Amino acid sequence: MSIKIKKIILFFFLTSFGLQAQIQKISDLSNNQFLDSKIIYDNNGEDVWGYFLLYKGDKKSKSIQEYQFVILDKNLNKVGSNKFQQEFSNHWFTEAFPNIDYLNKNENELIFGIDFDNRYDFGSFLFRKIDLKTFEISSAYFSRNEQLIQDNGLIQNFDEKKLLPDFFVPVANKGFIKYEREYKGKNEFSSLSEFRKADFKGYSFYDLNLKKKWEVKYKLTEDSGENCYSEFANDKYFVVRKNFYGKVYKGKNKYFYEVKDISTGQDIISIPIEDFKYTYVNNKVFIQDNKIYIFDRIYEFDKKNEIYQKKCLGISKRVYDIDKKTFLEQKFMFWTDLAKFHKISKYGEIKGIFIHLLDFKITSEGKTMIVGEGYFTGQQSTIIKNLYTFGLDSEFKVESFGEIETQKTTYSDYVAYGDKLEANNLFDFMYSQKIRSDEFVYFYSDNEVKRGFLDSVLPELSELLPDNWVLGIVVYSDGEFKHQKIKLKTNKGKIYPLKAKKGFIILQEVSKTDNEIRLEKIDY
Amino acid sequence: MCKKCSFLVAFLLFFKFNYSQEHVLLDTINNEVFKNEIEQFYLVQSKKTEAIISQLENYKVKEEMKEIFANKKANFLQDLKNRKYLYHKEISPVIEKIFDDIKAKNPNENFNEIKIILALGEEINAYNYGEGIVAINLPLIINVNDELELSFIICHEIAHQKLNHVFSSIQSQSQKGNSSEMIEKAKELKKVKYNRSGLAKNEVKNFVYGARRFSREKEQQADSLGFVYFRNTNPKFVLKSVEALANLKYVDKEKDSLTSKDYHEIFENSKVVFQEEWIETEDFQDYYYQTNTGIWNIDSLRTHPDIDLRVKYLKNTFKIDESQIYEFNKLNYISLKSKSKYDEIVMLFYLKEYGKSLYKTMILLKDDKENPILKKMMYDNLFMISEYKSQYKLNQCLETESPYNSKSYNAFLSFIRNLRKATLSQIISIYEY
Repeated sequence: MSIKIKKIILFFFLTSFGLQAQIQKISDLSNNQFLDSKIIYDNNGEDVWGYFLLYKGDKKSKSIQEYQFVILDKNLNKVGSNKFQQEFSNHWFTEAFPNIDYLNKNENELIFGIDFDNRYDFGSFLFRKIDLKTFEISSAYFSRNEQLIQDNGLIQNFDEKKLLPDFFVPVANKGFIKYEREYKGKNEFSSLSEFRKADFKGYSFYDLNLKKKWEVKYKLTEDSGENCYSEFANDKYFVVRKNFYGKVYKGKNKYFYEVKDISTGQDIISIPIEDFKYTYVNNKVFIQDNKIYIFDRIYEFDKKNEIYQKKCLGISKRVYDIDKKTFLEQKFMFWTDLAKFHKISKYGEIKGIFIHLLDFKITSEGKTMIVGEGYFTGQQSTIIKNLYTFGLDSEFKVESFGEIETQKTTYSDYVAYGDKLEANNLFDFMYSQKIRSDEFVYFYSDNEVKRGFLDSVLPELSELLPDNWVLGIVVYSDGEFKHQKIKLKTNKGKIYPLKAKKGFIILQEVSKTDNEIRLEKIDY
Repeated sequence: MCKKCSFLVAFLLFFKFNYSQEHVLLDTINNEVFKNEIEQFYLVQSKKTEAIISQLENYKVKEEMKEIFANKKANFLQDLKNRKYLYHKEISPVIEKIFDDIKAKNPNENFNEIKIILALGEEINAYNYGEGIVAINLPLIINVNDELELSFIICHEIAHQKLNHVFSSIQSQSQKGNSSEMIEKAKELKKVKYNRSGLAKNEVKNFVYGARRFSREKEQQADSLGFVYFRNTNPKFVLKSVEALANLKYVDKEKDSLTSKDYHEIFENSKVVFQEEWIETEDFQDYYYQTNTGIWNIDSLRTHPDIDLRVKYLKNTFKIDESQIYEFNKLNYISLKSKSKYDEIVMLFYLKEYGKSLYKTMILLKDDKENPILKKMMYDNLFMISEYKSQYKLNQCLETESPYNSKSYNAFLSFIRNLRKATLSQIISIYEY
C-alpha cells in the first residue's frame, strides 16, 4: 500500500490534537507541485487584494502540461481554483515551465501573463483571463505585430519569424506601453535586448484587452530620442521621461517629463528636468493627489551633465499641480542641514559612508518622510550599512534625522554607487507600505552577509538567508520614526518576508519538504 | 515558560472560586495517578491487539497493521503524557456515573475493557480511539443539553468499541490496499505516461469514499447497539436518543456573541477609550468564494452520515414514541455545564489557543465583569497574545478573519490585531494580578 494511502488511513482513524495554527500550507492547497506565486493588487494597484499561486499538474501529452491556479484572499483564505492546459517547452535535453510574469486585477477579472524562462518570444507575455466570479479561465492569447493572436497549438505550430514581437511594458493597472523603435535597416527584432538598442521613435498605449488606444510619434529629424526611457502611471495620468538630443534642443532643455491623460493620450503638462543651476539625478518621481512630486539628487552644474558620485550636495523637491498645469514649488535639502543632528560632510559623508535615498512619502500636512541606506564604495568591494530616516516639514526643513545601525552586507567582488545598487536591488531595504493616513512601515533585512555579486543576481545559486534571520521594521507613526528588529527563527528551514495587506506582513517558511505562509500584523 | 505562566499553572492547581457554587477548575497538572492507570490499561489492551495481529495470515497486512497500531499507541501515550487526556474532579465523576449506570442496566454485557476519559480538544466531539478507549472532548460536555444526551453519545461510542469497529476498519482498509486488485491498479499507474496523478487521485478517492460507505454501515450499527444500551439504561427516556442526535446538528452554531456595546461596556471605567474602528472587519463581499473548489474536498470524509438520516433510522427501527415525554431533573447538569464554561477557557489556554480562549472569556465577562477567574484569564490570554504578537507569531494562537467565521468572531479577531502596542499594554494592565 502506498504511503499516501497509509497516511489517509491514519488521518481517518487517529484523532490528533495540536495547535490549530492559522497557517496556510502551500501544499495543502493543491495536490500538485507548487511552481510560483504572485501578489494580486486591488484595482487601485496599491492595496493587496489576494495571492495567486501556480501549480504543475500532469503531463497530458508530449508538449501539453496541465497547471492549476489557486487564488487566496488577503487573509489567506482560499477563494477559488481551476485547472488549465498549456503547451510547454519540451526539448530533448530540458523542459521549461512557466513563471507568472504579469498579474492584473481589473474589477472581477484577473489577467495573468506567463513566460517560459524566455525560451519563446511571444512578445512580452502570453496572457490568460480568469473570471473571479466563476474561476473560468480563457484560452491563451498574445499580441504580435499589433495583432491579437489566440493560442491554438501555439508552440508546436508557431513560426516566430513571420510576425514582429510586441514588447509591452505594463503601466499601472490600465494597460501597456509599447515603445516604437527605428529598425536601423533590420526588418525585425529577434530579441528584447536588440529592440532596446534601437532608436526611439514614439510609443503607443494599449488597453488591457491589447487594443491600441493612442500613440505618440516623434519626428526623428527634430526629436532624436535617446535609448533610455522610463514611465509610470496611475488611473488618470501617464508620465514618460523623454531624453532628446536633436539640434533643436541645443542650449535648451532636452530632458522632460511628459504628462498625458492616460485614456486619450492628450498632453497635459511638460515638465523640464534641467534648470542650469544644478545637475539633477532623479531619485524618485510619483503622483499623489493629482500632484507630481520629483525628488532629485543635486550636483554642481555641469554642462556635459556629468556628475561626480561622491560630490552630491543634497536633494531637490519639485511639485507640480497636474490639473492646474502649474509649477507649485521647489525646495532643497543640503547635507549640511543635517549637521545639527549628526557630523556630516558637505557631500553627505558620515564616517566614510554615503547615503542613498530610497523611499519618499508625503504626509497629509505636506511633510516629507525619507528613508535611505548607507553604502561604502571601495576599490574592489561595496559595503552596505545602516539605515537613515529623515523627517522634513512642509517647508522641506529637516525636523528629524536618525541613524539605525544595521549589520553590514559586503559585496566582495562588486563596485557600485547608490543608483546601481538600487537598480540591482542590492540594498537591505526591502519595501515600504502606507498603513493608514500619515502612518508608514518600512522593511529591511538586518543580517551580516558576505556574498559575491553573482549570488545576488542569481539567488538560486546561493543560500541567501541565514537560519536565524533578522527582519528590521521601521514605523513612522504619531509623527516619529520607531524601529524594531525581529529574529525570525525556524526549525524547519528559512523564513522569507512577503508583502501583505496594509499593516501586515506575510512570513513564508520554506523547508525542503514544505512551504507555509502566515499573515502577521505589524506590532507597533 | 514565563513567570506568569508558571504562576498560572500554580493558580490552576490550587484555585477554587465561589461562583454560584464551588467549582474545581480544570487541573492540567495533577494527573499522575490517572495517567498511570490509563497508561497501564492501554498497554494491556495494546498487547492483546498485537497478539491478534500476529495471528493474521497475510504477511503484508500483518506488517502494515503492526506499524499502524504501533503509531497509534505512540500517539496515544504521547497525548496522555502531554495531558490531553485527564481527570476532572467534577466532570469525570459525572461521566463515570453515566457509564456505571449503563454497566448496571446492561448486566449481560462486559464493559470492563472500556475506559471513558475526558479529553482536551476544541471540537464538540466524542470518539472511540479503539483498544478500549472512548474519549469525550470537554466542549461536548458543555454543548449537550443534559446527561441523558451525553449518556446516549457514550452508549454510541462504547457500541463502536464493543463492535471493534476501529480494528476491523483498519484491517479492512489494509486488506483492500494490499489486495491483488489494488496492487494491479498501482502497477498500471506506473505504466501510464501522462495524467498519472489524476488517475491516482481517482483511485485514492474511490478507495476512501468506499471506506466512507463502509463507515456509514458502522455508524448505523453503533447507533442501533448504542440505542439498545441506552434504552436498557433509561427506558423512560428513549426519545432523548434522537434528541441527542438532532442537537448535534446545531452545536457548531455560535450561541453568544460580542457587540460593539459589549466592547464599550467591558472597557468603561478604564483608561482605555474604545474605538469603533478597532472592530471594523474585512469586507468579504469583494470575493466570490468558490463553493465547489474543484479539488477533492477532504471534508467529505466525515464519518458521521447525515444526522437526519440517522434520526429517521432510529425512529423507524426502534419505533420510538414521540409522545412519551417524561420530566426529569437536569438542574445539576445545567449547573455543571455553566461551570464548565470556565474549564473550556482554561482548556483553550492550555492548548495555546489564546485567541479563542480570550474570545470566550470576553463573552462571559460582559455579564460578569468582576469575576476573578475571568479577569485572570483576560490577563493571561492578553499577555500571551502580546508576547506572540511582538515575536510576529500571533497567527499561531489567533485565527485570521474568514468568511466562514461569525461576524462577532471576525470583529474580535480584528480588534486584537488593530490594538497598538501601547493600547494592548494598557488593557493588560487593567487585568494585571
